[in-house]
Amino acid sequence: MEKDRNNKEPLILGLETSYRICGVSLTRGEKLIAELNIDAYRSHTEKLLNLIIDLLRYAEMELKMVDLIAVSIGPGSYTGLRVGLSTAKGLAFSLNRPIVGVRTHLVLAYPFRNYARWLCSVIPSKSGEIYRVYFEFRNGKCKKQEGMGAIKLEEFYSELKKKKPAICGIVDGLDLNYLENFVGCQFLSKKGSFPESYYVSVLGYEKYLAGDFSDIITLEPFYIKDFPDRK
Amino acid sequence: MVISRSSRETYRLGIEISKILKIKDIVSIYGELGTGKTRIIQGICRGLGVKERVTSPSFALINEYSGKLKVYHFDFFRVNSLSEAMELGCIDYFYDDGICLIEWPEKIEKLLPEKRINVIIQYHKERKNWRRIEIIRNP
Ligand SMILES: Nc1ncnc2c1ncn2[C@@H]1O[C@H](COP(=O)(O)OP(=O)(O)OP(=O)(O)O)[C@@H](O)[C@H]1O
Ligand SMILES: [Mg+2]
Repeated sequence: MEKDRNNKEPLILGLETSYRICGVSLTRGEKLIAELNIDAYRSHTEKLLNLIIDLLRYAEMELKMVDLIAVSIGPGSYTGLRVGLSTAKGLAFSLNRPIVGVRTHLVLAYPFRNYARWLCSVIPSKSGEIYRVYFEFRNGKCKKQEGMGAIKLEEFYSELKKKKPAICGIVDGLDLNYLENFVGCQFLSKKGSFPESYYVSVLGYEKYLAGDFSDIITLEPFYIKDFPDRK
Repeated sequence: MVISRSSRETYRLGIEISKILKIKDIVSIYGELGTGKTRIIQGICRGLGVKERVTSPSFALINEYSGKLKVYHFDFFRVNSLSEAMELGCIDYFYDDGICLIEWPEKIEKLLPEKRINVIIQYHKERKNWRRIEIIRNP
């Protein structure tokens, strides 16, 4: 424990509530200490705080040792995001620690950053459209991003035929067989993946290294559809 | 030189700038933190018919949008060396068939083609929400 305290790397608490799976993780820099995930259906409110308490207990750490709060900001479940953000802000405020928001598309893509150069990260929307972002990685670094927005399923399939990325993300509602055999895009996790809180922490760490902190007051869920110009 | 009195005016100026742009143009936007580089780019993008949400590429180095033309939005703020930018292959885009809009061009000045449009945004000395904006075609 003493040794751990002397470590210069920040202790990061990552919260992921944008999807059904509610997850919390604790990392030292990008090194995993503990991670818990549970299918919360709609009850993120009850689950999240208990998960944090359990996580700290398993890790034999205390809340006040946490140096940074990282939180997934969506797009995703409206209530889940509200719970995640208000909890993150509450913690950051009471502990007087910085907070960073990370976009869920990146959380979903990050596990594959060293394996695929050209990736499409997908999140289905409630209305049946697909939120998708394309990422180009080089040497594990994110170089370019494009296509931030919602798109109809058929348009998405024809876009994929042109762009030919590998696909990752939440694939509820996508026809994987069609994607692989007719569109020609490989899906990077057969089981379907979910945003993992470990990667929320890892991305939080990268932003921490870059000094790219979020503002505790104005940080809010990322809804692709609100254009800033419409205000 | 023009004075912008609000974020909205800067946005509208962006729309005006978009009207003089053609394929392969490069617009480098100089200005301190928070002067409105992203804001003016939002206007330019709107003028170019981009429908997506335009925000600074904070994690990626480049955001690509599609409007009437392809638009590449760079933010070099976090780039610390020319080699970092070169490794990522940014230069290719400067010669691509699109329009490049660049925040923090001073970070990679040496890699930028000479032929470009410089936009310089400065805080106004007296008024918090005013900006002095200069547009200079180079050469
Ligand atoms: N006259 C003005 N022109 C532009 N922005 C203004 C003006 N007055 C106030 N603002 C505000 O200043 C901010 C400019 O933010 P913006 O992100 O565009 O700056 P930036 O130069 O891109 O910053 P950064 O260096 O962090 O990338 C906005 O919040 C905008 O509302
Ligand atoms: Mg900016």
